[in-house]
Formats: sequence, structure tokens, C-alpha cells
Amino acid sequence: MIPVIGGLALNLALGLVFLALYLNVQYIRSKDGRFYLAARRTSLAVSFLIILATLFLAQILMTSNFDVDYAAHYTSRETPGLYKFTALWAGQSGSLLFWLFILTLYSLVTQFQNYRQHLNLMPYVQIVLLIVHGFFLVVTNYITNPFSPTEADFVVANGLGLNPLLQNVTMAIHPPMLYLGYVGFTIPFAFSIAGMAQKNMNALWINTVRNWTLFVWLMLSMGIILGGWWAYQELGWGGYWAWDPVENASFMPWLTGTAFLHSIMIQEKKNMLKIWNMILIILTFTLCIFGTFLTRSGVMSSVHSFTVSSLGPIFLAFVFLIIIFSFMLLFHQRSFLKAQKKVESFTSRESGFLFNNVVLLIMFFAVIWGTLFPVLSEAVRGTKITVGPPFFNQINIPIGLVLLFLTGVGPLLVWRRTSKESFVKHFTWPITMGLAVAAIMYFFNFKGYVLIAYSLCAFVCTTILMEFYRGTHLRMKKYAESAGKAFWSLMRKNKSRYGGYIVHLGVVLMFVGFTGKAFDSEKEFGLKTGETEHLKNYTFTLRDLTAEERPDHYAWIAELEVLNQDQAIKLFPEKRIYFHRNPNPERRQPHSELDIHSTFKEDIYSVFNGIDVEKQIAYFKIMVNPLVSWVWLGGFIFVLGTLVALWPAKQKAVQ
Amino acid sequence: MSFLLIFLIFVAVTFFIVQPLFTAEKTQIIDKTEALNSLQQQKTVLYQQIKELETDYLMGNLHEEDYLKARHELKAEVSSLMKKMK
Repeated sequence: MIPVIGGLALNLALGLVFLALYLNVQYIRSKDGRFYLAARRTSLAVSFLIILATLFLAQILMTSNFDVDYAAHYTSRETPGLYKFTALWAGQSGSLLFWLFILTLYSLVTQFQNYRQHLNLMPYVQIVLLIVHGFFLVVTNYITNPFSPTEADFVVANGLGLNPLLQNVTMAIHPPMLYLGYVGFTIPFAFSIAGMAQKNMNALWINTVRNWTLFVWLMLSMGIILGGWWAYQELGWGGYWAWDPVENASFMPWLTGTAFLHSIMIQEKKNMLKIWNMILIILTFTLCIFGTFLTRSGVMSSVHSFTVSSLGPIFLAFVFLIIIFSFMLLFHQRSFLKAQKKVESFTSRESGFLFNNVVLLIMFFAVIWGTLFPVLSEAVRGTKITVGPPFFNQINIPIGLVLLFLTGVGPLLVWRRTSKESFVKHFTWPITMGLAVAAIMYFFNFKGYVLIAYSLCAFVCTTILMEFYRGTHLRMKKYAESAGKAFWSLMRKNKSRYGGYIVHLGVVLMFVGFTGKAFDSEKEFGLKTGETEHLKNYTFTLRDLTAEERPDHYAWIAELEVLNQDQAIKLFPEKRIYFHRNPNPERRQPHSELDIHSTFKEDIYSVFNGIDVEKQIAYFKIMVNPLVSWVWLGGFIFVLGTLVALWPAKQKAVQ
Repeated sequence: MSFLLIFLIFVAVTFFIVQPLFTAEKTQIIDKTEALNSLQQQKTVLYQQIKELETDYLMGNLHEEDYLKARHELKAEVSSLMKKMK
């Protein structure tokens, strides 16, 4: 019964989308408020039905209703409760319904928030949101329906269960975060289309678009960071970023979204770059849909592709339509979007942001080229040429370093024109610090990118800390405040500016961690109980090897003692066999559960690769990865800074 | 029983949606505060820019000449905005 109602709800929602579109168009034509109210109510009904369908699918998964194909594919009776719920976004049809569910939540917030605030824009915003709803409803109704019955002529006693790689707490958080980011860009995109259609991009519009973008950009950033964390904790190759197509799919809209966040400030302060901003937001939204296509279509082979399907053509058609219609509208409204002012000086904050935009876009083109090249080469020449991390690293490391440099220069630039004296005065210390670090590193025989990266980190860190110091000092002098109060007031009164600096500080710390990758070391070996191996200054001894049967897997647990001059620690990596009771050996799935000892200096990363049961030899891959914790610390500070920038200011009532 | 319940929900939803269309008169939804709110937001942005400009000047990032010129322009924008708000 429940699967039938779920399917029916999705069908009805699609029908109501068409009705709501009609009502909105009628309102725009006639300006008769009755159509507006009816359209609003129809949209609410669409939201209600989608939420209902999602809750029904969750109920089907939680109760192991294997009459539904999706539940039989992604859960089993042994799957723990949390992962039965997370199976909602583990497979293709469920994840697309989840996409729709998040879009519905965002649409509801937008409707209630802007019912009166953007009265003229809302019908257009609604139309865009409804079209996106309509697209995903067509997909979930007719191409990949999550309520489809199981195709078996017998009663399915148990499901196939969730991929062990997805049975991780981070995986319970990472995809929703990523989706909150991906889906969320629909809102600023809808406002941008509405703003262009209505020729209304006033200060209120900018404020709405900027705040929405900042929020969804934060979600996307958190999703990406958590994805890296999951890959590091779960996949067992010792890294957090592999330039995998699916990773790139989330990184590309992040790059263009970051560029947009910077350039929208120029529009806010100088009423410039409207066309450029529209291009960026159209590109970002298109990339979000394209990213969903890459993740869900199976067109790319990836460690993250948990689904294979034939969704490609419809997604590509939708992407194509978005681009065509958006750019047609942009072209049509070009006279309204044309800037009245020009950048006055090369040394202004405006040009700093523009440089940052250019560099981010170059990086975006490098990433999209590398990501699509295998598909393009296969289409053109018939042979798939794989583009691996070396290509991406070779191109993106220098671009990343330029970006890092601009992160340091940006805070020292002012709107319009920065004076020469100011340049000399404010760059002296950061450059001195950068050069000092470079000299020390050179003395210790570090060269190339490592030397440049750490020198730039010192340079940027100094500029940011000096900005905080100078701002605080100024307030102490001007308002006779204590250092603590001055610092707090500085942050409170300039959340956007100083929040941004905190984000930049987070980026610097992440670069410290990224550069540590240059010093990774690893070794693979087999050990019997009591035997010892060495890596760097560590000694690894296998103290014990035990086996244990658990509800959903069988595990061999190694007790590895790790010694060096300063410390003695124990690691317990495991080799697990999931679905071990399955009579078909091919369905049994081996999985290495890692154990990592983390410090700010380095991580000791242990992977239990395999076991020779007869000889009682356990095979390990051990890595010593320096400075990885700095990536996570930087990520945390990055998120904190965005939250500061996003924190709402006290609203003053309109007189 | 379940189908009856579904049918009743369907009827309720349909009534909820179409009800505004059957009100007797054509209505107009006008928000007088939107324009004012936008000007208010623009004023907030301009004030913030003046504050930032002053901070940058006191921190030594700007020439006095540039500072005075920019400040004058921003203040002129604020006063034209205030006129519009009246």
C-alpha cells in the first residue's frame, strides 16, 4: 500500500507542477492576485507530496520492505538502522528523490521568507523552481522510480545490503551536505533569472542572493571537506583527494561559486560586473546539475560512483536547455546589465577580486578539461585516455599557489585605489616573513613547490594576522576599548570582512596540510604474530591476531604495536568480510577497516590488506602522512569563518 | 478504507488549491514596503562602505585625498537615497 501511495504522490506532484506553472504565468499576465495565491498553494501542495513520498521511502527502507526494488538493493535485514536510513541517498532513484526533497525544503523556506519581500520577483522565482522540480519529478516518475516493485517471481527474504564503504558515519553526513550545496544553488539561480526577467537587481536582491549563495556554498564546502575526510578514513589509499571525476564534479561548482561570492561584492559596492555575475551563477547552477549527472549517470568510472544508469541523455538535455534559455535571457537584457562604472585602478580591491575570479576560472577550466577528456577522447578517437592525478596536480598546484598569494594580497587592497605608501608599509612585514621562511626552508634543503607553498603560507598568515592586529589596535585607540573588547567589536561590526579573513586563514592551514603530502612515505609487508617491520623511525610489531563474527560481517583484528623514541601506541586495523553468510561467495565483500593515529605532526595510517589464514600471516600497508590534521583543522576554521560572515546583522526597523 | 482516506485527502488538497480562484473579485497584491526595504538595504550598504573607508583610512591604507574624494561621493549617494526614501 505504502509504495503505491508513494508513487501516486510523485505522479500527483508532477501534475500539480504543471498547474502551478500555469497559475504563475497567468498571474504574470493578468496581475490578478487570485492566481498568485492559487499558485502559491499549488506549490505548497507539491512540496507536501514530495515530503510525503520521501518519508514513505524512508519508512520502506527502515522496515525492510523488500517488495520495493530499491529497498531490496540497498538494505538487508542485517543493515544497522542508521544505514537503512542513509540508504535513502545510497542508490540512484533514492538519491534523486532526496535531491527533490532538499529542493522542496529550500523552496518552502524561500516561499515563506520572500512571500512579501520580493513580491515582484517571486512568480519568476517560483517558475524556475517549479521547472527544476518538474525535471526531477519526470526522472523519478518515469526513468528511475524509487517505488518500483521488485522484479522477482518469488518472495524476497532478504535484501542485498548496503555497500560496506557507505557504512560509515561520515557517509551519513557527507552526501546530505553535498546535496544541500548542489541543490541550494537553485535558489540564487532562480533569483538571478527573476532579477534579469524583471530588470530588478536592487540592494535587497543582492542581499538575498549573496546570503543564499554564502549558505549553500558553506554546505558545499562542508560536503567536500567531509568527502575528503571519508575518503581518508575509509578508502585505504592514504589520501583525501584523488581528482576523481565525482570529486571534481563537486569542486567545479565550488570554484565558480567562490568566484561569484567575490564578484557579487563588486556588484553590491560598485554596481559593476552584473553580466559577469549572471554568467557565474548560471555556470554554477549548470555545473550542479552536471555534477548530479556525473555522479548518477555512471558515465565516469569513479570510486564514488555507486550507481550505473542510462540517465545521461535527459540530464544532458536539461543542462543544454538551462544554458540556452539563461543565456538568451542574458543577451536580451544586456542593456540593463551593462555596467555604468569601470575599475579605476589596478591596485584596487575590485581588481584584486577580478584577478581572483580569473584564477578560479582558469582552475575550473583545467579541472573540467581533465574530467571530460576521457569521455571526449573516447567519443572522438574511440579510445579512452585516462587523465590521472599527475595531470591535475601539474596544472592546479601552480594555479593554487597563485590563488594563495592573492588570498594574502586581497586584504591589503582597498576599494578604488590603494596608495603606494600603503603598499610599502603593509607589505613589508608579510614579505619579510615569507622570505624568512623561504630562507630557513632552503637552508634545510627544501626546494620547489614545497618552499614556495610554505613561504606563501607565512606571507598570507602575516597579512591576515596584521589586519586583525591593526583593526583591533585602531579600535583600542579610537574608542579606548580593552584588547578583548576591541577585537570582539571589530568582528561583530565587520562580520563579512573579518569572517572572510578567517576563511582565508582556514585556506592557509589547509595548504600547510596539502603541502605535507610531498613527504608521505609508505611500505607494504606481511607479519606473523611477534614479527617486526620498520618505516621511517617507527617499528611495527604484530602483537595479536584475532577473529570475531559480528551481526553483518566477519572480522580479523590485528593488534599492531608501534614504537619510536618518544611513544608507544597500538593500532587495531581490521579485515572484514561483509555478507559472510551469503552462500554465493561472489556476494561476500571484503573490506579493510583502517586504524589511524593522528597528531598535528603526522598520521600513522594502517591498512589490513589481507590474511593468509593457513600460514597466519597478516599483510599490511602502512603509511606515515605528515601534516594531514592541518587540512581538517583548516577546514574547521574555514567553516567557522563562513559562519561568522553569514551571521545575520541586527535588523533596524524601516522608519 | 485506505482508498477513501486518499480520496478525501485529494479532495481537501484540490479545494485548498482552487479556493482562491473562486473568490468573487479580482484582487491585487501590492507590497509598498519592498521598494522602501530595498532603499533601506542600499543605505545600510553605503553606511557600511563609509565605515570601511574610514577604517581603511585610519589604518593607513588610503591617501587623504583619495579618502576625502571617496567619502564625499558616498555621502552624496546617501543623501540622494534619503531624498528618494522621503
